[in-house]
Amino acid sequence: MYLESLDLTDFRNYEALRLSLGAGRFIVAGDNAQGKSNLCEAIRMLATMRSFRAGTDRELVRWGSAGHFARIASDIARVDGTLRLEIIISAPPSAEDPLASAAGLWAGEQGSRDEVGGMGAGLPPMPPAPPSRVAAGKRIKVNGAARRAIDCVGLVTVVLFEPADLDLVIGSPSGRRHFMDVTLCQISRSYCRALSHYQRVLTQRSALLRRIRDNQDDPRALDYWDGQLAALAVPIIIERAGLVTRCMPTADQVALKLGGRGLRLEYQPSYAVDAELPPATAVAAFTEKLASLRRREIAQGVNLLGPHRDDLAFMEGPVNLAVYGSRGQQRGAALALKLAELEAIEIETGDQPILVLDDVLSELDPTRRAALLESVGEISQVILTTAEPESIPRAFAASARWLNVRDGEIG
Amino acid sequence: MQTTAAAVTALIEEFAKLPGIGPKTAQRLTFFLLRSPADQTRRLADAIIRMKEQVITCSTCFNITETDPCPICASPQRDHGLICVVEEPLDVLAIEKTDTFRGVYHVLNGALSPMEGIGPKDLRIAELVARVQHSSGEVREVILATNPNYEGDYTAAYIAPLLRPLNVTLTRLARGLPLGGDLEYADEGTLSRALEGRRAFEG
Repeated sequence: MYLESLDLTDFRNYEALRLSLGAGRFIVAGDNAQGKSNLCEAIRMLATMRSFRAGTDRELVRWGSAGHFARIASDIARVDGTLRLEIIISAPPSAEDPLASAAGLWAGEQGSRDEVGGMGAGLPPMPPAPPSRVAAGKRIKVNGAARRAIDCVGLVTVVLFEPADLDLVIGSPSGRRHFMDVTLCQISRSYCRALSHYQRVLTQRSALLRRIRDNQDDPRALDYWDGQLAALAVPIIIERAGLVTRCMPTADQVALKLGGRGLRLEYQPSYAVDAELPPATAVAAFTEKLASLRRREIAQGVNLLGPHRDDLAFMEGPVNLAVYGSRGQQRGAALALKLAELEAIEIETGDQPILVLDDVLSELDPTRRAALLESVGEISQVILTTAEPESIPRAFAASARWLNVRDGEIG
Repeated sequence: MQTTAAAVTALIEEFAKLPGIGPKTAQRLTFFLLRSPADQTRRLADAIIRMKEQVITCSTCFNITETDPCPICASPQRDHGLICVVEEPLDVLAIEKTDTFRGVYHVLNGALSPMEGIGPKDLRIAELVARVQHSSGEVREVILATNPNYEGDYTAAYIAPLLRPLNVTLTRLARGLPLGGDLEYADEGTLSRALEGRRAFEG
């Protein structure tokens, strides 16, 4: 799959970008702080509906934009046809701001309807929210029709490789869980849904654990949440284990090519589920395990068991690279995992993801750089950003279209 | 310098506190009232005050009412052996609109949510249990009609074991497809629940 076009309006430092793309390789060159990573962020948002950098959506809207909204729009060519995807991020100024009501979008259209509503007999209905007033949040359209965000995750699949990913092996476990989640959400809608429900259950359950600890609630109230947690955790764990197994051969191959002695990925769930068991049995076993931990969970006021405590280890033979690997080996393993992710998504969805390489080339040594560029040979769209154009091998540089980015404009 | 009359500003501020009303709507409502006839404005003011002074909660079902017990609880036409447990008074309104339910209600005043610090003591759960207990067997069935989300389900799951020993039938509202809807527009969660809850066809 590839993006045919990408339009950004008031997104980060892009006021009005109209970019025509297509299949092939693109090198986005420019100095730091000109908008390279913002471009990558926009592309990745098309896949995940969420930013990987921004704390709040408000940050995505260009400072000083007149309309208080940002827009990402793209025509996407998929194996099964093209579609147009639009994400509109609204960030109205805060309520105290006198300009808050200046949106004025709905002031006219409601007009005289108020008088008609009147104070009729019986209980009046709840007043509806003002129709088209700019509310904080996101709206998503596919081919012009509004859709829910969760239904649009994975319409575009993107594998993003950025400098922070080089620390995947030695970084915190949450980074490795995030890797599994982002990959699986693009592949499976049911995973995405289970994960968002799981977050909700975790929040309620940890609040309940603390309430019980403080004698505000009855421990038996946990029975319900244990059941919900187990029912969501089991499929998440099974999907993650499956992903790691599918990534293994490619990751191993790439690692060998990089001159190592191969790579073995080891999924380390906080609770291992036997995939052979019927789901109901696995859920029952998980629930039982929770019951055995109940006293400790209450004492600590924390959810101790479940996918939110999982990890992923990178092994070369018996050696854990996070502990004993060299810096080069650790970066190589991260690279191998990313390329394996690419293949896993392609196999599962039947369509090749877009590969976005955000400023990572200069971070890799020449061997790994060559291995990376060699493996992107058959990918339908590669978007690579760099602040050092001279670091790009000549053959690749010659085969790509160059885009120069400067202060939110691309020429 | 005060450019707008203080009384006007005060009313704008009061309106702006209401849900769904922003500063602009508050202004428009205020100026609408300013221009409307005095008796109309007085009727509105009276209606608000009367609502606040006369509306109480029914001591049996905790629905909002002007009389205690409320007309539903007092009615001999209603089936007092069938209690429908809901979260909010608005839910009573919704079910009453169906015109098919002949039982009585019990309004919990919310749903359990540990996250928001809402525990069993904050809801009318003990009152429900006492009500069933003291009915000396009159209550046959309790419908747990809390919302079909985690908090509503949790609330139902919390209440069920408290009522079960009292020898009543416990039911939960069916969940599934809305009438007049299209299958293709139903979200996956609803559709899979509808599949699970399918029934023998007696057409």
